[in-house]
Amino acid sequence: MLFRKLRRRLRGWLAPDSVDAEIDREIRFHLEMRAAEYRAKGLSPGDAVKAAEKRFGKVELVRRECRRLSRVRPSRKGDASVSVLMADIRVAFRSLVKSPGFTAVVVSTLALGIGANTAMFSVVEGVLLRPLPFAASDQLVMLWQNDRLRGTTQENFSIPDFFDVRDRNEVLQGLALLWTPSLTLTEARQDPLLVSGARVSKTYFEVLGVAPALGRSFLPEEREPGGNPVAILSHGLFMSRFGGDPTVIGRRIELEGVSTEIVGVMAPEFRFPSRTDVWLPAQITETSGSRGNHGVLVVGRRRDGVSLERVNANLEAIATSLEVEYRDDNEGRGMWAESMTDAMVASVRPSLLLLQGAVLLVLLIACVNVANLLVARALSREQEAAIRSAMGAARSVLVRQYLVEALLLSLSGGLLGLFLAYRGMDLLLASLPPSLPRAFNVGVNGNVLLFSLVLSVATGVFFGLAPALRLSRGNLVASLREGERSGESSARQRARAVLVTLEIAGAVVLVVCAGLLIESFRTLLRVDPGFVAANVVSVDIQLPEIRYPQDRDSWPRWTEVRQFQKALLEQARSTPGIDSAALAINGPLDPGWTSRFVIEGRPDVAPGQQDEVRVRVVSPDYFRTLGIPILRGRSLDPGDDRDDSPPVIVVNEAFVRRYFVDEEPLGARLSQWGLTREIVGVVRDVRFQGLQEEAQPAIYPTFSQAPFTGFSLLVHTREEPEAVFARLRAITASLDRDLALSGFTTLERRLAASVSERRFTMNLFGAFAGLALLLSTLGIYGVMSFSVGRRQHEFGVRMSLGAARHDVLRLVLTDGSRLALLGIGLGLLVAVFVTRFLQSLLYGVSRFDPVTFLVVSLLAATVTILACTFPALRATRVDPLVALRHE
Amino acid sequence: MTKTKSELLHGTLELLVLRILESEAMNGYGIGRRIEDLTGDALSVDEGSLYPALYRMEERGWLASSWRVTENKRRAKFYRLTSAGRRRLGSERSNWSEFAAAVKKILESA
Repeated sequence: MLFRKLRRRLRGWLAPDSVDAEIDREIRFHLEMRAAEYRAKGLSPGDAVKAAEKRFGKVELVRRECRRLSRVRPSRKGDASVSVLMADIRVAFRSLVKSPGFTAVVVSTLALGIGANTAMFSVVEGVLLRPLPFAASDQLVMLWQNDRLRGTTQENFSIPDFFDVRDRNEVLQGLALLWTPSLTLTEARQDPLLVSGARVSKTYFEVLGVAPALGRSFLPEEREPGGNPVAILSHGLFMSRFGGDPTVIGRRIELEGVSTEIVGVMAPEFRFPSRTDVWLPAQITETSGSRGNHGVLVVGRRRDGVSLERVNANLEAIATSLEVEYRDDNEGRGMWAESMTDAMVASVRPSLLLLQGAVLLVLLIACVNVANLLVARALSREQEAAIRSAMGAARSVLVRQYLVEALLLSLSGGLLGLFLAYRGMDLLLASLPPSLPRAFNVGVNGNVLLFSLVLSVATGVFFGLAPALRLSRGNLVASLREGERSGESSARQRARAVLVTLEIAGAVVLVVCAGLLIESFRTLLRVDPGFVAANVVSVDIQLPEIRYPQDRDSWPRWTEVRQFQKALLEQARSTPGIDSAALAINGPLDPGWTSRFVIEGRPDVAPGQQDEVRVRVVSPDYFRTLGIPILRGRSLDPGDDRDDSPPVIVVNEAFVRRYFVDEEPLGARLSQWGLTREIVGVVRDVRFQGLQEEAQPAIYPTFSQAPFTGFSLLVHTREEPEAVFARLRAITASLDRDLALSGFTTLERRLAASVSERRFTMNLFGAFAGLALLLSTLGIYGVMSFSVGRRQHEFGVRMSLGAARHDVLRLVLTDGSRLALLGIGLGLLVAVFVTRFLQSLLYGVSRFDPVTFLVVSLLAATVTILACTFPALRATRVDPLVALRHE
Repeated sequence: MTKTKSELLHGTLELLVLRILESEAMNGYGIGRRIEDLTGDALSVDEGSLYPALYRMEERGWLASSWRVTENKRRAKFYRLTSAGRRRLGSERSNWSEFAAAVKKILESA
């Protein structure tokens, strides 16, 4: 019994032809017997055959039904066995292959939608969703300070404050601090390299719950002041500089001129802080550092069961008591914590989620298109379905078959989409903004594959179920009677119209958002940064302390540092192709840091309430090199940069606006860092914190008054940047063989990089919106074409009754335009609410920007109505005679 | 098919086929003829439904088929009841009796 069924099924599957032949033979036998019967009743042989066939009915349909039944076992007791599924897939596959055009359109539409979603999700997964590579990473928090008096919200900690929090808190089970110096790495055989260091306190690795992948962590004595200099390498530096050679453990390198032993290498996924190349013990004690110096990052681990709110309440209490105990330094200072994940990715979360939402909407629009195509296709197969149902095929079988077909389509689309996403991954990675945190995590992995699969199945069910249910519910007998020319019922047509309207509305929402982002970006690019970026090349230099002593007692006379800088500028200026050269501790678009100051002759302010100003130490040629105009007074000149020069500064417009509203700034004196300096000039505002932030008050002292060992060299040149860079490298090497250059760039590139996140969001959003508009245009085109096809007869009647061609044209266009305008109106209405989520990404544009809304409406109206014109024109070409003859 | 003949009630075709095959194996044509003979042509068989019904019942395991030579030396596909088919016939038969009794009750009470 079992064997017999198995054989039958196998034969049906492997050799359908022999099954077909048997069915044919059986039916032929029947017809011949019946014909013989009629002959016996006296009919002529020819009439007998005809009568037999007439009696049998639709031979071909019976044959097809038998063929299907001999392959598909109808579900018994509702069990869907593998073989049934295989048979359904086979049937679906055949029917899809039979209509390659339909299949190609559907699969490629879905591939685009699912591929775009997969690519976007790989970014969201890698950046936002993947847990940080630390033990129980949701317990980790970053601690910050704020300053009510100056209105800052996120400042680094001071070392004494860190120790106070460590000793007094009741909510954290571990606390560590770190700071991130740039370090020059020198080895015997290779060029010196500037690396990102992280000096970390004793408990750092314990708090994070990580250990080196190779070698060991720091020993207790190495964490104390005066302990042996040791370092742990990042996996990146280990690979790039040491070729992944495990024997580096125990080898000595020079860091800032100090012979340091490599004791360990971290795992590739451990990157905290993100760009760190090498970790060193901080070797501090509880008496290190001053309370007024806010230079360290603090990371903590919450105790089990302690919420972030409780951590923050506890920190607030500690901060309040510190305010009282250390009034001079801590007045107005608060403390707060945020989860480590938020600290890393909160800034990009809104734009990434928005993009994912946008691309999901694109997929939804694609689904609507596919659903409409499937409904149209189902309609043309309605008769077949009706007959099969009349012959006893259960409706569940029909529904299942439509679903299987839809799933086959969506999975094919998903597979192709995944392939596209995978192939496009390099392109995507290249287009990610350099500032995107955790970008190294982005890629196609198990989670992304799962997402893609779920999305494919969900879309298949979504667009497959609609036509399937409608078909199985609909009055099949009625459609059997209606015959080939059955027109769409008005309810059905309305459903399709609603779908297309929603589709257009969705597209309009996306296009409005994209329009606002584009307008923001254009506004941002029109912002005058305050300097001329063209033809300026910049490179960062860090002088190691061992050869360039930073003696506190002799400040600001750091002879070695000053000599190097002087020689560097002289050599750079005399290099052919370089028009001017300057030094600065922070170039433009670099926020730099702030310092307290006092203007002479103004009422005394308590030490804790002094204002802070951005201090931007420069060499005199800085303004000329960057094309920053002097508005009043004079620029700094070489005479101001000698050791014995009287201290002078230049201030920016924002400084004058804030502190010299009705007073004369030139000649005024202000003290800062123990020096009293005279204001000799006012320069134009330059943007420090990205293009979107207005300049803050800033002062420009010279290096002679405030020497620094880390600075940028900026040169104005008309030559190729790379050639200039090679020359600068040669100059520094001639001055100091062991000096590392880093951060080579042009100011134009830096300007572009500062808007790269916005550019990324805008480009992707624009692409998604364009895709959505294209899809919805195809959608309305499809619906109108279909409706025109179905209404040929009606148009024929109208025209034979005297309607002119342009009447028919108007008829169709009115129908189409009504859908389009309804969709656009609905879309604009929704956009008014949805753009709320866009608010944080906009710059200089209201989220209700009437121009954007108007342009988008016009664009959408033009495109969609144009899409209706083609079917409308086709309607006018209906030949009344032909149309009526079909009746 | 002539309108004067009553059409088969939905679902009764299977019962009739099972009943006819209870006594002997038969081919599709023979089954159709037998239904007409037994009912004195009162019931017509829609041949378009007969064959799909046979295939469906075979798939369900109620019937088994084999090719044999008929009395007049023609090859035809013969169907016979399986044991599952026999059980099915039993249950269908009692269902039908209950149904008929119920209808009869209604008709007599009216």
